[in-house]
Amino acid sequence: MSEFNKEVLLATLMNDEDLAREIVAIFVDSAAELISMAEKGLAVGDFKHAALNFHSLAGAAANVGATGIASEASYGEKSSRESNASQAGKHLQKIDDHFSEFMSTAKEEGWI
Amino acid sequence: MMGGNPHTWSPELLIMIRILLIDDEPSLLATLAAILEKQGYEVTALSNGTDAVSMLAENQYDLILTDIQMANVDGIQVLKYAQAHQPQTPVLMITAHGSVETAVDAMKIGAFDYVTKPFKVDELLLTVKRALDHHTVVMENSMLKNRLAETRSGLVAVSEQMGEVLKFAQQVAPIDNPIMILGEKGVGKESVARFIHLQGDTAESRCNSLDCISLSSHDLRAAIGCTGVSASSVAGVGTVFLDNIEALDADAQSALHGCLKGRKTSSENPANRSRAYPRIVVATSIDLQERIRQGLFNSELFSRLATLSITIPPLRERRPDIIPLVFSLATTALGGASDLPSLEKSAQMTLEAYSWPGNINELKDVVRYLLAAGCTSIKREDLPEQIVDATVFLENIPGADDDRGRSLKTFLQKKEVEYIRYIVDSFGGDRLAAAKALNITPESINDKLEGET
Repeated sequence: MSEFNKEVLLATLMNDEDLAREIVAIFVDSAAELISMAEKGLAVGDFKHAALNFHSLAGAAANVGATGIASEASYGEKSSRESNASQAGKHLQKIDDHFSEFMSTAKEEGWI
Repeated sequence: MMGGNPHTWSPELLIMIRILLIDDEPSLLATLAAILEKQGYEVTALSNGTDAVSMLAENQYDLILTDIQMANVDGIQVLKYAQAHQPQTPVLMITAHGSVETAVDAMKIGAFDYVTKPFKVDELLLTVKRALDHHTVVMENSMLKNRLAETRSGLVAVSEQMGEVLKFAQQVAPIDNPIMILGEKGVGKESVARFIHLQGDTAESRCNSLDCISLSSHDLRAAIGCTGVSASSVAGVGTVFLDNIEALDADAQSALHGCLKGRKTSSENPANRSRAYPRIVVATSIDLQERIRQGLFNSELFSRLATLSITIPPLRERRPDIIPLVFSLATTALGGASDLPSLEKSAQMTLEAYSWPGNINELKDVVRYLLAAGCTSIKREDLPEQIVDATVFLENIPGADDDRGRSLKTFLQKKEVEYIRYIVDSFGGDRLAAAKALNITPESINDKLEGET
């Protein structure tokens, strides 16, 4: 399955494609910020901060049908709550990969 | 289904449904806002709990939809603030799929329901609709209860000022502390006390009204269920209204203070306390602070009584209530025995212009006077002489209705000159006598009437 499942988002937005494009654009900015914040949290050992950002990312990604990011962000949140920096870091790496894939798919399909 | 404008019906207004939406993730916030706005709801979308608390402090909403996990002020804190400040507004919690435990905990402390991320639109809208339907029922019940309480307590609150009084009375009704009602004689302090009584969980019990002018310390203790007095003395009494509280003698003040103090220290269970003791509502038209300075009133008792105080404005400061009060009082006096007389415009204007120093008590007397006169259509000249005399300018200043649309300043200047001229004429042109009557200097009269002879 593609990292960007636009059907999920369109269904949520009652097939309003213009609005869906706006939401994707907002998500791209927001996700980049959340990934960066989670990374900073892990770097300084602020697991609470990292967990909160992973949590927000999971919800936002699920909303736009970025299932891979959503799933890894949930794991990242769990690892952060367990103060497991190494495991959380691995999830963060996978999130980066999924996010890159999301961006390419979204660009290829003319969404961003 | 798109479009449509959701609204709540009230007898007076068609109102857009206002939803406060809080989520710190921008794309989710935008998605939710768009979904709700497409349904016609008026959405205030905020990205943090701190702003939400500020908005809740200043605005009323029909529904609050908040994410749980947010930095700083989280959704649980928003829920608690909403419960304290807008207890009738339902709160829906937004939670991630798989972490519903927190949402369930939120429901235990009063959240209406929760929605999970990612959203299924149908489920989301159904939950929102259920919450709003619930809110509508709660608000309608509250409105009916208010109207019933207004009717049963004999209150009329058409004016904005009395609307505010009743709003505050509603807010304090569930609180078990004593309430102090302030206001001039005859403004309806006892009616407001009855309104409070009918609002709270005391509604099904009795409300005892006592005048402190003739109340002994012993009778007071029995009336309010002080320690040492048989509990049967207050059985079935939900509220004790103590009018003219300033008239209590020192012993009675001390007894009341001791009783209230005792209640406070034994307040382990407020629910039990409210069942064991009646609520105390006191009223005065006197400046109690002055009494305290004179050593005539117990300052500690005042502190206990005045934590919740309501000031009822005099009738002259809430003129929109005057005519509805006339009809309300006439209806009560006639008891449906015959048709209400009509009030001609000149009579309405006169009644609204009069200063009513005796407030509603004086208005009651006037209504009795008019009913006794048996007029079917009441004109200005049918009103008691002192009212007609006190408002003489109304019909004697020509063209009172011709100046609409001018600035207030222009109108007042013109009417000031006309009134001065009228008074001067009524003294046969004697400006000195007119100046005395008007309580201004003869020079002022000359200035105002400059150019006239």
